[in-house]
Amino acid sequence: MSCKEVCNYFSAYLDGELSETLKKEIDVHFNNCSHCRAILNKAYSIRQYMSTYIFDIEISD
Amino acid sequence: MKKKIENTIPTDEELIGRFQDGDIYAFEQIVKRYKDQLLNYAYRFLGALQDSEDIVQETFLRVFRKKKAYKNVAKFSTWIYTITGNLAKTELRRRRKKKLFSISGLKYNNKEYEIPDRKRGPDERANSVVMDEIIQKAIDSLSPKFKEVIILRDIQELSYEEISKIIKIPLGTVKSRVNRARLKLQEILGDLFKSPEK
Repeated sequence: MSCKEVCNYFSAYLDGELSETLKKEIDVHFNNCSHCRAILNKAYSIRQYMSTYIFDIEISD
Repeated sequence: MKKKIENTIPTDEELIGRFQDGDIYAFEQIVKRYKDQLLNYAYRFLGALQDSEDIVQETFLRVFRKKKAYKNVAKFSTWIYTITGNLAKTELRRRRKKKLFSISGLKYNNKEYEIPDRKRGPDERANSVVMDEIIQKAIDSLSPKFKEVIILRDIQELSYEEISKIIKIPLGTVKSRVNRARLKLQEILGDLFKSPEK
């Protein structure tokens, strides 16, 4: 699988929505491609950060 | 024989049902449950705290006045997010118009807000304010269609199905938009979130 093809499955991979077969195929790519692996790690960190941030503000009357 | 432990936390749908039957306390519970997440949603959309607070208040006012409009066929969260999203979009349109007809050329909103976050310590809070500002700017730089899905998915953590219902686009389109939005954010914020690998 090429880097471009992996890009199409990027979100589904992060969300754990891929079929077992497809996931294995992409895992092989990530194991061999440091560029895609770095993108995945960064995207995962960004998503983690965004999901933990919730404002704690009182709504004024 | 083991007794089944009943879950005492009511669902959103139960709360709105009780409110429809006249229980004001149930409405208060809904406000408590949703005020922060809706404010977060509106703020990420509009980037101005006062406007976002107004949108959230208007959302609850509408829920209060039009409680009977909710039918228990959709999730309550979908309904309330749709109300906030529509109000935020109307506000954005109003701003665009205002900008278009602005003679002075001044920016609509020059205010800077400090977002208090009581869950973190002082150092962490200082770092997180900087980080949040950077993230907010990155989200702001996305086109509205990408901005909308990334807020709903990665900040509000709604399911793809819910997002599809809220913004009324097919599920497949939601998924591809989220994918593209995440890649764009990664491009913008990539340096900030360094990969643990060498």
